[in-house]
Amino acid sequence: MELAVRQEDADVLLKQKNVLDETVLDKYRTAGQIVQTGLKYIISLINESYHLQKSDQPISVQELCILGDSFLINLLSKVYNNQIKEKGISYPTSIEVNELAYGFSPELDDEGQYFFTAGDVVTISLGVQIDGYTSQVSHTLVIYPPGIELNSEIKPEGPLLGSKADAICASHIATETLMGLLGLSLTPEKLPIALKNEGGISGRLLRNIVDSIAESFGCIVLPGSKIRRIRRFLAGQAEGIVAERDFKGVVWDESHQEERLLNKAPQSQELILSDSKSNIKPSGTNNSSAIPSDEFIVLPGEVYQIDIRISSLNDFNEVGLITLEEIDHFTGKNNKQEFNSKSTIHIRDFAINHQLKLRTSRKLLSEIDNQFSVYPFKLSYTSKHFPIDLSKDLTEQFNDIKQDLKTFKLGLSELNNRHLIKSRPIQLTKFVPLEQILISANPTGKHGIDMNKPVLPGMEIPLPQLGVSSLKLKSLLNKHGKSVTNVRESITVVINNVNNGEIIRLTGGSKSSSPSWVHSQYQLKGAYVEAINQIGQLLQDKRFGIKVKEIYPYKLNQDKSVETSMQLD
Amino acid sequence: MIFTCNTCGLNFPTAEDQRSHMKSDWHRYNLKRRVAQLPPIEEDLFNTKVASLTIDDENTIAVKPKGEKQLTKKDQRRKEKEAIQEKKRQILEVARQAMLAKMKEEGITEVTPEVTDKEVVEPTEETVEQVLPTEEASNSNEELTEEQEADKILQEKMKNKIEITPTTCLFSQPKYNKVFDTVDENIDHMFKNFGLYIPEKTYLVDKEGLIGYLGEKISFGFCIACNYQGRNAEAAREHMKQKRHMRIPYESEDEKLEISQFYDFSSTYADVPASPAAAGESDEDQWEDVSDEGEGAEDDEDDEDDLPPADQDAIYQNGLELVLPSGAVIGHRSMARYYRQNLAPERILSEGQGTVIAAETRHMLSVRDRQELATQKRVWSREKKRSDVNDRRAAKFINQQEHYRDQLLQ
Amino acid sequence: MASKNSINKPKNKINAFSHAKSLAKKRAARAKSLPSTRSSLQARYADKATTAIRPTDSKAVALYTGESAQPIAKMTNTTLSNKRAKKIARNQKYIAQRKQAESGDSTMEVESIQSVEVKQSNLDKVKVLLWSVIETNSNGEYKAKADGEGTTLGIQAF
Repeated sequence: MELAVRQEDADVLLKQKNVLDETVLDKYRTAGQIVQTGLKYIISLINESYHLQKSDQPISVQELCILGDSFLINLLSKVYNNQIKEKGISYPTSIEVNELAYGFSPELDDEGQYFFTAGDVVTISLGVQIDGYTSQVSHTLVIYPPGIELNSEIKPEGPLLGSKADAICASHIATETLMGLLGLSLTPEKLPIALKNEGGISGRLLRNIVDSIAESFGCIVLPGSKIRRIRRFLAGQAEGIVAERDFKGVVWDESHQEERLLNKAPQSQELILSDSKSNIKPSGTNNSSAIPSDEFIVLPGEVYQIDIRISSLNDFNEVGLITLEEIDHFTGKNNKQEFNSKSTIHIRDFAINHQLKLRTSRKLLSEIDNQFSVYPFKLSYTSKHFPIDLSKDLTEQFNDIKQDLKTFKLGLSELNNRHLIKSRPIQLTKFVPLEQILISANPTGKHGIDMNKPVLPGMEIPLPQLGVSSLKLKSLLNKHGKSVTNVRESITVVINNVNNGEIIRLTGGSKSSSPSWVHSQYQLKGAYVEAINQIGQLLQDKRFGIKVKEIYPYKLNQDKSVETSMQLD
Repeated sequence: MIFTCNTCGLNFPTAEDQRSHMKSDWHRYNLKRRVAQLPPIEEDLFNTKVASLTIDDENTIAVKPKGEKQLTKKDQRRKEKEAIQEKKRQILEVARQAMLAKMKEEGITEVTPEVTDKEVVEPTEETVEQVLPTEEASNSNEELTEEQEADKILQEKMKNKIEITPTTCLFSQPKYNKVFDTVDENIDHMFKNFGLYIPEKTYLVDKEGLIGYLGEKISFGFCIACNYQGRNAEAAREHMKQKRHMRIPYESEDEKLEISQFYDFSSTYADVPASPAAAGESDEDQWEDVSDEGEGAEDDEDDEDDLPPADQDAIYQNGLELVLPSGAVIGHRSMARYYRQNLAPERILSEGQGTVIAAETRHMLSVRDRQELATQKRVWSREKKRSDVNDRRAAKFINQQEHYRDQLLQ
Repeated sequence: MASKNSINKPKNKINAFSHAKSLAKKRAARAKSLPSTRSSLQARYADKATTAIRPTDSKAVALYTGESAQPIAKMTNTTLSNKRAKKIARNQKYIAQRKQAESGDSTMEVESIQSVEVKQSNLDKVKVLLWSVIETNSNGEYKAKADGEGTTLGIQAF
């Protein structure tokens, strides 16, 4: 690596630029507002196409993705035009259905037909950065069967039931509670009594509360879920590539499920658990601050991303783990996997520099370096016809973009081969019975790291106690893996300490993404029930509770163009 | 019938007169002059010449009959030798006299034998007169070598000088008579036959002057390429042919300055105003004709002064690089291998890229890079320190603005 | 190669050749006269048997004391290879058995019955625990229980 940044510059970039003030907050707010509007836009598109059935042809995932991205770019082009150098999409609009967990944002030239059917849960994720200040949202909504007319309005006939509903309930409650908890870091005196002796809002507390909520709904927190601090240009967009200095956050992975199962065991735990984590050597870095640890305290003035993915285990009678399986374009063909797609989201790895041979790839690389900064991108962003003009004929523009995609395909593969860019794999949620893991022979132990799997440093081995490497787990998935529906809620929250202290919810919330109508047969249980309920009340209480400022989306007009009147609160 | 003498241009009435004339010394003399392609002279002039010569002759001829027989060479040499010895003795004698006189003045009287005194004194009276002129002569000779030798040589050269016009080939021998109608033809001929290359032809404004100047140089017996001095033009030509010196040297500053008056480079430096001295130069330009060293040196300095000042120089040298007014840099041939390197340009990171790199903790540094990084860091810290010092220095003068400047009026 | 008498002979080459040849002769003579060691040039790759022993070569003459050699601080060239140590140990066992057989005392092998002390590794412990979890789960103990009116989110709207 020839690159290095001077210490003074690094201090400015990493510390000073992250101190909240009015301009920074304004950038965060604007980004949040655009994201909210984008989410609202996509939800309205889905509603119109599937629920209200306004169009004869249902809208496909490919089209939704490109429309969402174009919408965001159009909104971005109206703000901060001269003041800042870098702004753009920080998270390409991706739409994951049911068991798809991550990184599914098909290009227009994808041959697959991706439509929704009733009963699907659809996760919409998108994000935007303005001058590196990033806000991101993920929201899961339910596709209902065609509704009935009630009071001259078409409405769903009934709520979603079953395991999917359990997961949605758990994720919603978890996100709201976490937001409240983060807000309580401003006013620790309002903490519920049950949590008072925890010594501030620690990472361990956050983890325990989320785990207990999931548990009471018979669900499990998926690997890849996290509550992490985000900084300017460091919003977790390159997790698994960059080993980020001073990482602060709670991260879930398979090892926590293993730990949970061990804790369930009836025999006494004389064990073991202490030494397990410490003897894992992270493969990529030797900087301990890059390894996530729960030993941190949430501080006012930080910005957090709460990204919770939850799956229900209620459909399975056996004990097992839920893990993520990467789909690459090649394994799918040989295995009997039905679903197959190419990964479309790429991110530039700046640590690597290489003189490229092809002219097209050099051109592509320079465009990537100049345009997309450090954030992930799709190939269609490089097209001349992007963003799509929403007021004109769409099919023609889709065809133009399809044509443009071909020109950069070759260059992209060279960039990929030289590791100048990394493609973000598409991941599926898979359930593996514990029995299968225990009976399988594992002669190589924990040696062997799956480089395709994006993991944070120190989390390379999914099951450290059992000594099962990610490659071994992957091989088990082929035979014994079962797909599970997952649900994701992700919001970005600023713990604003500038004036009198408040929590700014940049994304999510009732105005853009109210939860779908679901009913779960389970209720909150466990040690933290009371605390969680109290936090819920504090969030409702406008006067004495936790002050939450929600960022509202712009108003969408009928023809999907946007009123530019800014409104806050 | 008229009897004439063509040589002397005379008419005679009778043949007798003509014959007697033909036998006269005057006619003989004129005949000799005619052979020497000189005009005949009048009889009176001849007679005066003869008269003046006979006075000299009589002195010498008067001695001659004493010696009677013709002197042999051996005798002559002996006589010369004796004369020189005699002279020497006389000089020694004079010197001795002078010394004695000095001693006398100082009051030290020495009794010397009278006999020797007499012997000595007698010849001195006669010789002093003879000696003095020779001393004078030798003195004048010395002066000549010191001061006027150059003048003398010049005189000689002037005597040897032959006219070479600009349309004449500089290098061909006159017997081939290479004379052309125009200067251009001449230049072309010299280029084809002798390889005379005229540098910077595009800026040459005074061709005739240049060739004329070179011709003049050759006609004095100088070589145009080196500082060879021949006896005459022929010698110079022969030298140039032998040494292949048929070229105009144009490398060092002096060489360029020597012929710079025939050039006009003002078109190359568009932004530099034409030097005002250009008009006044024409009379000074001819200094080579005078070829006085002192004047030449002065002129040299003048020329240097006339060059545009260094800061607006059209071409200036920077070590092994030439910086052209366009901003392009021409490198020296010896550095070619470095210029040929195709190095990747330094990467400039945007803020986002910088942030990510600053937050990066992956260990990818190889050993070599680590050293490089250390140097880089040292340079950065030095730069930082320098800028800090500068800031501190600048802060001192922050309130010492001399005149109030209204920000709104800027 | 041109002969020595030819006009255009490569003198340098011939001289160098003869010089090298004479040197080689001398070297060969010296090698013959001296016993070769393993370090000497001509016997670099010769096997041990044909070369002379150097003073630093190890001699496999250390006494077998029954335990494996520990690293010691001082330098020695009397060593005992692991292979030989094993061999000696095995032989000693046989000798002991033979002596016992000769004495006519045929007792049962004690070692064979001795219960093997199973060293339970951490991994095994974990596995045991997890198996017990699977056991308990089959009784349906860990299933979340539905109770009360449950939870409802959202409103009746798309």
